[in-house]
Amino acid sequence: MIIRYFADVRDLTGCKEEPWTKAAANLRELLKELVAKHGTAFEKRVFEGCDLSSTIIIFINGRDVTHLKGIDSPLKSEDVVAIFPMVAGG
Amino acid sequence: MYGWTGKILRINLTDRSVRFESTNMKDAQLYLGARGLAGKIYIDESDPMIDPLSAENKLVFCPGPFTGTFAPSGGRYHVVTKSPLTGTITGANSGGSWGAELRYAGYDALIIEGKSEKPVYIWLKDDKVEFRDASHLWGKWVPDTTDMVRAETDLEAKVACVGPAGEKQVLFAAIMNEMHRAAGRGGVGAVMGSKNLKAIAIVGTKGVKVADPKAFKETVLASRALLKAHPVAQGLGLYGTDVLVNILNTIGSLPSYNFQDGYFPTADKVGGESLRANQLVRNKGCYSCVISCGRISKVKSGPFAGEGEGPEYEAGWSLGPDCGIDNLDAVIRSNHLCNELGMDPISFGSTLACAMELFNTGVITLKDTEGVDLSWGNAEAMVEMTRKTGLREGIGNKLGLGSYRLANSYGHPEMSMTVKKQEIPAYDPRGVQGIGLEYATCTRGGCHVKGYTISCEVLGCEPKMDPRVTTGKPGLVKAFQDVTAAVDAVGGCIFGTFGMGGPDYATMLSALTGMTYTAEDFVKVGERIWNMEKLYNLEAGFTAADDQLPTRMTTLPIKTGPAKGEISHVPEMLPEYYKLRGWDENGVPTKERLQELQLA
Repeated sequence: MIIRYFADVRDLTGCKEEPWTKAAANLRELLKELVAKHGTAFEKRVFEGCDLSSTIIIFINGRDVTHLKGIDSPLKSEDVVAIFPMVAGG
Repeated sequence: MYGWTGKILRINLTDRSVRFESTNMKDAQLYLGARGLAGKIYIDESDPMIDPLSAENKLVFCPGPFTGTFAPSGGRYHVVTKSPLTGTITGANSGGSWGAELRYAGYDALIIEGKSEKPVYIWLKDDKVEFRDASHLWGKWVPDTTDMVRAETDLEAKVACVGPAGEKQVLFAAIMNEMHRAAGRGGVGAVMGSKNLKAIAIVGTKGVKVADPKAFKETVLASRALLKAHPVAQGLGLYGTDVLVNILNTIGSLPSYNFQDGYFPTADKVGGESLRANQLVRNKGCYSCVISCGRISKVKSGPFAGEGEGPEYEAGWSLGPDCGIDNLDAVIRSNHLCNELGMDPISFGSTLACAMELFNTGVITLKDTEGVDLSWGNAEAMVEMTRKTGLREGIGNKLGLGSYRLANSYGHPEMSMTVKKQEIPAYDPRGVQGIGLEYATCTRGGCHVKGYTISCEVLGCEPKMDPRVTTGKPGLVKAFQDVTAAVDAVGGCIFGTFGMGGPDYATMLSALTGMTYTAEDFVKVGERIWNMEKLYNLEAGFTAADDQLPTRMTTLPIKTGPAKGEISHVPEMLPEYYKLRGWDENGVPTKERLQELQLA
């Protein structure tokens, strides 16, 4: 699995992307693993209680998890996960 | 009178007459200002069949009721005219402070008509209007023009001008105010240049009268706080709009190589994160803005060294991935040149991408380009072609007509990525269905900002909608188009809508004007404006056949990336869109809907 970070999420992880070899059956499990690695600031950025933060957007293979199964979206070892803050433009 | 000044300034360049007229207050209440009032004035006075570059065409500049107040992100003006690029009505808007200065000079509208025999600029200080010779400014680029006009008038003057692109009638020339802010799309600068009008310098010393200052202050402060605290506003301040490069690429909807694909593997090199890390000097806001998304950028050394403003996301894309380029220094240099020459980087970049496709498929050769190698990804060639296009030198003369005319001149109309002859922007409509419908139906041709469904389809705003589905999209597009027209009409920036809704705008508008506007009234203003513009286009000869995307979007699937295999489904969505608008199957507004909107 490859995890990619964007905008100020990169400031919390210190990297643009990282390979991920630990098993994670779904997004929730993956995020818990990532919190364990990147700490409480990252945790506050991605979680609101047990749910995904409303200020974060996560894509699995280019699909917003909102349109999949949210934080319970299943993951496979070849997936690409991208984590963005809410951003905008024009 | 509150909210409006009640006064319009009409300047005729042919006979150099100046008239002070009263604002039609019924029109002001129904159309507000900026895009709405300017459109109403323009359409009432203009024959839709005129040549846009003839003396018969007019330019109507309008601030909105919010312009010049401290309403959040509410400092914009609109300029409305018939577009020489599209033949439709067009409204281009810009931030900075020029619109506020026009308001402080005491006007709801500035109408420019006729054509000056010689180059001229207008020096406007409140009620004093001077015509000044601009022969010595003709040929000057935007920064020099701005500095010289200020030196000759007042160093505090706000200057809107055209560069060489406007003078030479590049069909996507912009009107630039305060050097770096652009009324960018549709060729409004070409219309100004065709009139031999080089610049308009303004100093205004009057204020804006507010009906209920206490209520206005309270609601504005609350709205400013709401917007400032919104995570989107914070992200825009940090990274600017170019931050969208990566998110669009992540979903596979970042058009590349003239829309031959929707994915660009090295997109991160031209994204907002790279810009912030390497070339950003500081961010910058427009009048009364709480976001400050503007980028002051500097390339410190090398062949693309220079300092200026930009890029926004659109320029980052059009001058980058759409031309197969991932050199951010070159993108920035080309963007600065677009500003200095006074032309729209979206249409320029897309037209260059079209030229690159013509070159890479062997339709044109080095002989046609006078030796410029237009291979995909050639950053040096892009910068050189920017200059050539703005000055209409060599093949730049053809590029200055836009991609529709360029591609057709070589017998390959399928290589022009346009709707109604205007280049479509940076969101691939094959991967994001709603924005494709916006492109197809927008009254000024291919455009994203008049119905920015990306907010809900990609950026996580409510109601969140899957970008790949068509269900619900006609309603979403209509809703965005109507609200945006109303926000445009008060002089607002669309980024305000990330933190504020119809009720917030209506409350501020009511306190400002002393009239009662509900949220429904506010949106109705927008729908009225949209239908008014549609009626103009119908009279100008446009039909439902023009509400289409380039054939490539509905026939050529995205080749690589996460949205591989997707095409646009605009033709399936269009009938429902027409129905929701109260239009017949030919896209013609019904009499009943027009009566409901007080348009018949």
